[in-house]
Amino acid sequence: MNGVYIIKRLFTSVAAFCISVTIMFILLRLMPGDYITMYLETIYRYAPPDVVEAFNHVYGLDRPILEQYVLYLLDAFRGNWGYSLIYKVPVLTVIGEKLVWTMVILVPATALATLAGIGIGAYSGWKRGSKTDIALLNGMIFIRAIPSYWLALMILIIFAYYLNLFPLGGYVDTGALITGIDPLDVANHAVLPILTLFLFSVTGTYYLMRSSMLMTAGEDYIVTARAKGLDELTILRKHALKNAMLPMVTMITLECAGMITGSIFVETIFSWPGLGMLTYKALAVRDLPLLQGILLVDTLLVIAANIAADLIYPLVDPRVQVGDNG
Amino acid sequence: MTGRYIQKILVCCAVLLLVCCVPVTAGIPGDTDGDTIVSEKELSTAILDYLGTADRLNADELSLAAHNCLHLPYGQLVVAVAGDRYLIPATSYIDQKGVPADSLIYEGLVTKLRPKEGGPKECLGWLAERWECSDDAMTWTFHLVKDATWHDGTPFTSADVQFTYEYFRDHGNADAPEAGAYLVNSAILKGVASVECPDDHTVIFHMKSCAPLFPETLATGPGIAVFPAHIWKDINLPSTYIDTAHIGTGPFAYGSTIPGTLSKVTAYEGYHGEKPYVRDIVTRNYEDEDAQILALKRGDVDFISGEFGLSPRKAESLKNAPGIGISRIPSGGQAFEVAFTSDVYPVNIPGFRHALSHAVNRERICWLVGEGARPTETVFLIPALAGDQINPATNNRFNYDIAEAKRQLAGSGFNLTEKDGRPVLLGPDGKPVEITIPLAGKASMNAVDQKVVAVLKEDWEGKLGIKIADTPQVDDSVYLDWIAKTAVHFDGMPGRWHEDIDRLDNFQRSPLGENFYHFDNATFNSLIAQLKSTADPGKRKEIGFQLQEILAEEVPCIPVFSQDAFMAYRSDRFVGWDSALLGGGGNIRLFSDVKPASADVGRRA
Repeated sequence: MNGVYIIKRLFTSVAAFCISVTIMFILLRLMPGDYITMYLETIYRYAPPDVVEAFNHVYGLDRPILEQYVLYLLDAFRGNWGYSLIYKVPVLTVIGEKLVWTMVILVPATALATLAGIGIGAYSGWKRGSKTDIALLNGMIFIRAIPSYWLALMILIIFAYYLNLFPLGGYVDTGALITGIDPLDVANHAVLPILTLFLFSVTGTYYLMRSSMLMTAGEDYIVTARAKGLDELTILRKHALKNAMLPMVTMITLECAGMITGSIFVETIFSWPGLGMLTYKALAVRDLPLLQGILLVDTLLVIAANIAADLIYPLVDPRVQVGDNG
Repeated sequence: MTGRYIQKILVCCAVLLLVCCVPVTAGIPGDTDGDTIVSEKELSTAILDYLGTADRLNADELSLAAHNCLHLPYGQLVVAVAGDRYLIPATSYIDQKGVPADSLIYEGLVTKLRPKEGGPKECLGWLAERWECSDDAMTWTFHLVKDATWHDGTPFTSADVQFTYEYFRDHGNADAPEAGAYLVNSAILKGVASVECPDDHTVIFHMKSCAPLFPETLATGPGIAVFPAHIWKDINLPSTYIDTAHIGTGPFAYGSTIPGTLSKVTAYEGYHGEKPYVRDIVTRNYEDEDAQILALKRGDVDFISGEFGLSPRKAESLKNAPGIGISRIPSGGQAFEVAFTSDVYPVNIPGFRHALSHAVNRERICWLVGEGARPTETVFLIPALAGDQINPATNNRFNYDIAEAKRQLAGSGFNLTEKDGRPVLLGPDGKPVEITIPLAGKASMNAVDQKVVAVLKEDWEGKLGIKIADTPQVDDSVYLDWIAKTAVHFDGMPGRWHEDIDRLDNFQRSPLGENFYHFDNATFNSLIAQLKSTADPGKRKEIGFQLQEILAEEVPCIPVFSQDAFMAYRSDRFVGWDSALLGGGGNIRLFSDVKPASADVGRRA
């Protein structure tokens, strides 16, 4: 990896960011409806046009679209992402608060799903055609086929309501109003959302790992290893797994970025106040500054994940020299 | 004071001698007659029991009985809400509206009471104990309660009310240079010319024009709450100000918040009105309604209700659950109507609208919608909400009568024929009549609009030959555009839009533009103008009756049914849920009347 490549990579990332931001700006403004009309219709039967006009004037929404775009772009780079219309605080503050809570369930869920997906997928692929492989494959297909909303609801009903093992929602018990937030209490509340996210995520990792392992298992060097008399576990661990892992790097990094907003259903069912739920609310009431902020964060995460994948690749596979053309 | 205590002791002694064998029943511990009040006599009996006479109450139950007897707040009530916007947040709730009038913390001058069916409409005093207006309704005088204090101990005076008006007035300018300085609800007070305070407990509002419903305006949805002047006087940007103290005058004072999930208010000892029986109210956020129901059944929360109440099916599913009670508020949910865009063919022909008014099978629609749907027999106002303002002569004018509908159609130039064995209605132009009904808006809640369409198809297509060509599902945000170009649509508005003759201005061709129905009747418009400048209640009612008569004749819409609202609560833990709920105000009255019935709730806090 050389310096020129890094500069090029950063430049293309900035370009990608600008293009994404532009597309987002256009799409969000093509979306029908606006915040103030929807808000006023909950108070009045009609949104009084003079009030709508006044609101748009206050928030600069009556300015020419090009002027709004230039301001938006400049502000995006300056870190001034505006005020949320529903929360009345800076967008970055709201996103920061919610992102922390999303990470509380996302990080363990992704880590567990990655480890389990790799482990189970590798084993399944290595034992191709065995009863275990077929059982695992069908089990994963079954989980994948369940609608995410329904799966989350079933987990809530079974584990929280019928078995009474976990809380029904939120991230703390009412006692926290007196004692403050207890990490153990949070962990207890986080179990079911993590379990649900884990089940959503593990199947994807499993499929890819299994396919990758199927391809690797047929390679000549595996046959050679067997011919050398190495035991199966050593072949799997030292030869097959390392090579089968390569496609996983990109997938895992992108999945980390993608799951941020993929947790909308989970956060809604379990009343977990994270970024997924925030996205849903912002979309429902057309809180444009907040939506723009969330999408900007998503864009940045995906770009960062791509760069991370590029940087991690040579570490996993020394044959890959990022930035070298030869 | 000493004499009072001696009297109490004597009563207790007398009771100790007299009462030995009164059985203790279920309900509030110590409340043996089930009137939800623990009298001194009952408390004495309970003390006897506790001391060993009968050994029926334990220490916690006795403590609860004593709290209820002495009207001291006890225990914790947990309320489920759907969305963190219902929590009392550490971040700003001020939004563009002002301090929240439905938070239990803040109060306005008055709030609305739900009228008894056929009875007069009433307001209930919060910070005003009585009020009156001049004969021309140009001046309103409010006499304030005298012993109210803000939660930080500062006395509440008329200066706070004047400050609130001036604050809204000064933050009603959208051209203000700073973002965050504008309060949308300033529009509610724009009819006020000035406010004066002759003394600490009297406020006089001088109006710009006749305002016979000014108290109701102050109390509507959920209304204007009074700001503490000593706190807000230095705050220039209310929309972005983050209030962490929430100092109000209400029955509950702000306690604490866990952002996004919990908030707590605590009974305010110095409250000027009837003090609550519950010490803490915790609001817990469950975004999903199913999770709320599970939480109620499991006992994590004590009370659930949605924006328009629980859906009837969910309320039904809770009916026989142990320890759970259901409260029903007649017409407390939405009111649904089939609405016409009066300038779009074919509903621009009055005879066609008349015909269709006899082709809506309300009984069948209500049966499909399920529990809590009650057919509307009036032309717009809802009996349970509008009380005696309904013109009885206009009731049942849109009765279901397909033969009459056919007669009306024939009389208006429509021709009912048959094609391939199916009825086809030909318009005056000789072409088949086709209509499109867009589905969206508030009528889509619980798929009510689809159920209405299913029934209309049976009659309109199957019997009258009107082809319902399309029922596109459109986004809420473009629904208004759609209904402007289609002849028929549905509406499902909150009941408060059907509670007063003043609401008939929905049909006025307003200065803001077209009304919802594109309805334009010169007499009607003139009567509405007359209504708005009339102060005399008798004359207003008379005008209201005339307006309803015009609606019955012109049929800009066909009211179909109103939906009762349902709420569910833990009846094994709290009693007193049957109090009249307020129409447009908060739930202050409800939670003030609720009493703990189980010692468990005392162990929570």
